Formats: sequence, structure tokens, C-alpha cells
Amino acid sequence: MTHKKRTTNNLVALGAAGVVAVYAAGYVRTAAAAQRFSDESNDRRPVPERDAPSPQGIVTAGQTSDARMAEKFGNSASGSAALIAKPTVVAATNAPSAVSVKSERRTKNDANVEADKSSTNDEAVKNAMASAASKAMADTSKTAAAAAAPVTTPATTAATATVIPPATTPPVAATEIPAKPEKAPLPPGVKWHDGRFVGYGQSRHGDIEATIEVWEGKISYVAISQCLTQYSCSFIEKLPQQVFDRQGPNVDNVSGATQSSNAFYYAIMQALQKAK
Amino acid sequence: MSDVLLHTFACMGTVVNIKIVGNTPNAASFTERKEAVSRAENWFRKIEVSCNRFDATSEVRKLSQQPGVPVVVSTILFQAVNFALAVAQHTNGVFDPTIGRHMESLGFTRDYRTGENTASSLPVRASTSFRDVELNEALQTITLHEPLLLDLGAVAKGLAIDMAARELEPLEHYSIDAGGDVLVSGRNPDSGPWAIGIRHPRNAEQLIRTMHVSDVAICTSGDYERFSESSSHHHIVNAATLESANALASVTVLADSAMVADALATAAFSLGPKAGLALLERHNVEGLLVTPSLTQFATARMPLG
Repeated sequence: MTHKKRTTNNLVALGAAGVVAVYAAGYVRTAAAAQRFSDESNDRRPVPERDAPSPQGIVTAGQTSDARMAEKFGNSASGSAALIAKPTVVAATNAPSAVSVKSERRTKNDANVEADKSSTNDEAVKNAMASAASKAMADTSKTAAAAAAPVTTPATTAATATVIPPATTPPVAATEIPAKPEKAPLPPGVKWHDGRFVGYGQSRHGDIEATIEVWEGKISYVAISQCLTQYSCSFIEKLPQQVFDRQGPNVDNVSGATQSSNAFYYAIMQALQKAK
Repeated sequence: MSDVLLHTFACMGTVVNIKIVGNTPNAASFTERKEAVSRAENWFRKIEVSCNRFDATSEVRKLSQQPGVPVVVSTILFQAVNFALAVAQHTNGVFDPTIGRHMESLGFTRDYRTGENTASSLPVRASTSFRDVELNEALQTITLHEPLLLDLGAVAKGLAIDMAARELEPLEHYSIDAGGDVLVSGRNPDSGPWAIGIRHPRNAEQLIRTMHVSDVAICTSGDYERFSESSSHHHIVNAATLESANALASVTVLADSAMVADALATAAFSLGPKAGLALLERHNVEGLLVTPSLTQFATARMPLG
């Protein structure tokens, strides 16, 4: 983009000045809240790794996942423990698969069953993580200090119980690998791993769950597997066909989009993210 | 493999999606990202509390109850009004934030959160204009010389996006999407520029254009969302004629600031294709204007393609 290099005019300069003024005035409060949040996170952190008893030999599914998440997201034991404490998603609704598109070779269309089936440990953890992360955040509203609260309660106990060794420690890495075989590297030109993947998108009118299936590196099936919006999902029913035809949403964001189609795109993106 | 933190929440009558790409070598830790995202969300909440015309307890509504006297206001409200008034001056009042009471009379009175009718009890006066609002920067006061209700709809969301972006700046690669008002920074999860579609104004399932951009805010004002209950008016009203602007179907503006992009998109929409395009050119921002017959006008350096 060339905007930054060009001379600014009145409104542009005024807008920038306004943004700076608001940020400067408001930062003091947010900074304090952020500091509190950070302090609390530090308090909750488990004892340094080198002093920790090695959990190997008693590694449960939850702990392995925890270690993996620590490896993935840095040493944030309390955070990941809390996230795992949240149950895996799939809302207890029996909303039928609203809309789906599939290739000929696929006939089955029971998203919930399939979702469970494909919810290997890995998927379950990721689902739980994604939903819990957004829930934990969404539940917060007023202050950053409040934001820390949902993390705190389950974390304190869970984190001390499952001390996370550094991801680099060889023995732990060894116990970890059998639990979660790494996805095979993708051949060149192939964007996604085969399998069934579920993603969630949220809108003010409710949530949308999308399911995709990848077969031989291509999207073979796209469905709005749950439409928990207040209104009918009919106005976005053509979107799965679009994703199918284009083999993925071809944009990151849509300017001027309606909220439900936004939610659908986020659901698809999340699902495809898991397929990578 | 990309590692993306997605955070979604509802605020300001829309859904906000924040996406943080974390697969870079020096990516911030998960905790750091969560903290930044939480601060970003707080800005949305704070700005909504100040600027929401639909909430009878908001700062902007309280201000409207005290016409004739200088009222000390928060920096958020002061700066939002200050900028909105400047846009009004630049468009000779075609864009005018004092249109709030008129918007109510057109039926735009429902709080999106509760569905409640939240109309103020102010008299409807066609004669109110931005000239009835006086700001005192030193004392940070706003004086309403007429009973009027400020509508900061075209400014507040953009301001919130800009504030959120400030909090996320250290994370480098992120996008903020507040109901189709988008700000992107750095690279997308595939390590390229962000692909931003512009919604087709007559078909929600289609894109009229796609751009590949970074470090820019993209806001679109269209005639296709939020029709009022009591009339056929859509939500962008030409303050000079008090009718819904109808020479354009949508306007997309690219600028460094979402507040600037949002306000200029709304202003250009009201001005129509010719004056709208001139406004964007004058302020050195890029834009795409689409008429109801789908003719497209773009500024010279609009990154289409």
C-alpha cells in the first residue's frame, strides 16, 4: 500500500491525532489492567520446569495435550490447562444439518456422529481450545482483570497437577509422540490433509458450525452442520456450494459482509485451519 | 503450519472477529496474545459505553439531556465528536452527526442487544446541524446549542477498530473485522497479503471485487443493511436533504485509520458518485463507489485486482 508515504490531508491527519489522543488518555487504565492480568498469570505459573517432577510414566491424554499446547503456544501452562478443563464443544442441539454440498462419493451426512468419530484426541483438544478460548474471552466484558477470572479457577488446581516440562526435554517428547503422530508432510500443491474437520463461527444472531471433508487433498464435502442462529439459515445456504466450487473461501475478510455469512466464513476458515 | 488465534465477540451492533497470526519466528506467546486481544476488546466496550445512541444511559445520550450548557465529556466522546464535526464541515453538512433524532424519527430506534425501543424524548427538529455543537478542547467540553442527539455510528466503530489495532500492533500480523469494517496488518495465515473481498451490494453471496492489501483499514457503507422498521429508508441518510442517499449502492474506502475510512465511506455514500469520488481524492484515500446499476468508480490508486 502506498498510503503511508503520501501526504495526508486535514481529515486524515485529524483522524490520526484523535486516535492518538484517545489512546493516550485511555492507556493508563488499560495498562494497569493489563499489568494485573499479567501479574496474575505469573502467580499462577507452575514452579520452574527444572524443579518439576517429571510426569512421564503417568502421562494421561490430558497431560499430553497440555504439553503439546505448551509447545505450540509457549510456556503458558495455566492458560492451556484451563482451556482443556472446558468440555469439548458440539452443542447439545439436534439441529439437523442445515445445508450441505458433497461430492458423489460421499453419502453420509451425520455431522455429529462423524465429528465425534474424527474427534481424536487431537481434534478434541483443538476444538476445546478454540471454543474455550473464545468463550473465556467472550465472557469477559468490562475489564481486563475480569478477563483473567475465567482462566483462574480451573487453572490453579489443574496447572499444579500437570506440571509441564519444557517442550524440548527429550524424555517427555518421547512419551508424547506416540500419543499424537505428526501429520505427514503434504505433497507439493496439496493444501489440506484428508479427513473431516469442524469449525465454528459466531455471529450476533447465533453460531454456525461448518463441516468440511477433504478427500485426496480436495474439499469433497461442505456443510452448515449446525445453524444456531435466531433466524433461518436460508440466506446463507448457497455459501457451502461456493466454498465447494472454489475449494476454500478465497478471501480472508469481506468488507461490508452480512454477519451470518461472516460467521460461516470464519467457521470454514477454522475447519480448514485444522486440515493444514 | 499457521497458528491463528481467533477471538470473536459481539459489540456495537455487530460481531467483531480478531485474528492473530502467530507462526512467525518471534511470535508473541499465547498469553501475550490473549492479553492484547482482551485489551482490544475492552476498547470496543468502552467506546460503546460512551457513544451508543441506542442506550439511554450512554454518555452521548446523557449529553443530549443537557442542551445549552458545556458538559465535560470523556476523551473518547470528545474525539469522536470532534472528528465527526470535522467530516461534517468538509462535506458542508451532507454528513452530519446531529442527525440522531431524525434517525429515530425514521424508526432507527431499536437497541440491537435487547430489541427494545430506546427512542429519546427529544423534539424532532429538522433544523439542527453540526453548527449547533460547540467543542472546547482545553476544557474538554461539548455544548449542544439545540436539543439534539448525536449519532456517532459512522465514527465510533472505526475508532474502536483503531484502538484495538494499537493494542495489537506489537503482534504484527493480525486482522480486525467488525461486521465488515476491516483492518489488516502484516501478513495473513498463508504469509501473504490479506485477501479482502468487497461484498456485492445486490447479492450478499457474491464479491464485487477482491483486493490483496496490508496495513490498511477497509470500510464499506452500503444501502443493503439495516432498513428501518417504519419506512423504506436504509441507514445512511443525506443530512442535507434528510432522505436516504440513493445515487450509490455501496462505497468502500481504504485508509490507515478505520475511523477515517468509515466516516469517509459514509460521507461519500451520501454525496453520490461524483462528489463522493472527489472527497476521497481530496483526502488522499482510496475507494470504490458502486451505483445501484453496478457501475463502479474507483480512485486512481485503488488496489483492485
